[in-house]
Amino acid sequence: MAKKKADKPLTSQVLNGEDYRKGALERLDNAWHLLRAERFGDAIYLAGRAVEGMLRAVIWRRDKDVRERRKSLATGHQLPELLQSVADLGLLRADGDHDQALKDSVQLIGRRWFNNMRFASSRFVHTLWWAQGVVNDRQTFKQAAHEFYNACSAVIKRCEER
Amino acid sequence: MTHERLKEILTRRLRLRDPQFSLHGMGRISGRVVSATFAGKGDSDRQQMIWDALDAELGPASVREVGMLLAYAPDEWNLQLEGHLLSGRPSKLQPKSTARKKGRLTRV
Repeated sequence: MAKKKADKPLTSQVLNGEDYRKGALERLDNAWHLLRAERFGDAIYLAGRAVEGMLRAVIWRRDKDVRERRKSLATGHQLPELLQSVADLGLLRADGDHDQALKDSVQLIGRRWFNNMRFASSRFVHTLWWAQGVVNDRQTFKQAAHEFYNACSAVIKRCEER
Repeated sequence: MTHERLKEILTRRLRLRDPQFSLHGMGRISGRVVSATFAGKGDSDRQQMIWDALDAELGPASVREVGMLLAYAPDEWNLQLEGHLLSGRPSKLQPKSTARKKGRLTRV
């Protein structure tokens, strides 16, 4: 018996560029409120996810093959790879100060964020960042979380100018 | 909450210098604000300023009435990128009549 339409599993194929963009902005907003409430693990996770969504939105808007479903947006959740996809579309200058700052922010985010953070407690992230040297005697977890939010916000704001 | 009311609150409470707003949505307003007042401040500091102002004015209702407001200093807005396809995104200097409706920036 044929499955009803409503029974079909949902996939990311239902999202278009504007959906990714709006979702990214909403996640950045939520990340801010969590940061303000000092719920750092959740704030960091959502801010990183917002960047992923916004980079996907940029790729979707600029890559006809993605829009027409000939190419998948399934690049995994590796932010540096998503940035490379953005660069491959010719949307970044190699020598522009502003785009270098954008790349630096994405690289920072890519080093400190990973997809399975969705399962991690704040204590786990704190410990991980301590081991990475992100949190240390000179920078608290709170300061590092704010720095991370700022990097994520910078990327999203730059993408909004496109 | 109207767009005009939100502009008025932020402009007055933050003493925004030469602010330009692009707002959308009615139930929960989102958008961006460009002002020299944000220059030299990190994004989390800018958000802190905005939300301190909204909380002081609106109380707990602020989170229901306002969504993401991206805060730009003037030199951060509308940077032209190589490979940028002119998609109609308006410059802050474009006259209102030629600005794309969705991205319209209005001077307060």
